Amino acid sequence: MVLDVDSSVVESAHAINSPVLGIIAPERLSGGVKALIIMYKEPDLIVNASACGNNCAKWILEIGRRQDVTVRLGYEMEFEEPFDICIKNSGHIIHNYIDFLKEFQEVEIFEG
Amino acid sequence: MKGSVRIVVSTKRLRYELNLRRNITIIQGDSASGKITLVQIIDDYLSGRTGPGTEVICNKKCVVLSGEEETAILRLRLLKTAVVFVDEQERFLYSKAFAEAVLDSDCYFVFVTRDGLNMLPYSINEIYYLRNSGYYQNTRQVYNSMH
Repeated sequence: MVLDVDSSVVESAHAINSPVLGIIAPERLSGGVKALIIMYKEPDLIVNASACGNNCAKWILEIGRRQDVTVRLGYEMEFEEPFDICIKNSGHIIHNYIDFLKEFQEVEIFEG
Repeated sequence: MKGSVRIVVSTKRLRYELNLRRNITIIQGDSASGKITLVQIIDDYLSGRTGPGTEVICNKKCVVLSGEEETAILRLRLLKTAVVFVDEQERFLYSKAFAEAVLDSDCYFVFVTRDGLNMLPYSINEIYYLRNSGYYQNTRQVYNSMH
């Protein structure tokens, strides 16, 4: 995940080699990768997936394939089909992006 | 606010160029495209935590608002025609009280967020997508002009 999203190499538990920033502490990983790590390691927590960009979408789906995770999402993330996502607001299970956008609009209109 | 404002932020490794045309500008982008880094560099520069080689060039005062909502709003009310940066991690960005303070202000605002800010009126033409292209961090409009 760290290599794919941040293009950075984990050198040790305390050092990340970033092509842009040089050697950095794990705290300076992108917000998206940090959110993904929490999703994966702490599946009982509801993580704010708005911290993740579109380049994290495939990793959210991958984590979801391995274990059930619940996330909060405030924008129309570009999930690649096929997927199985349960929208907690409506209880609907969706499998394609058009349905995801419809669900997203419903939530935006009725829940603000 | 009147007219557009150009901001250049540069370090030895990075360079950002922003052109603010309206009072509210939204910056979005993929994870690790450098959005938070931009705000951090400006914050570090303004706090004197950067060494030589880091520059923030702008003809307006630049400010990064962070921390508690009450403090942030108080700081904002004291600012005149400044450029105010707020990162998505700041919870007050989504509050009604902060939105009201923004509407009363004559500052320029740069909000780094993917979520919609429903209480603020901003143009879809001023939503920019930060793109990482090596040394330069460029912005491009998310929505094309409708006319």
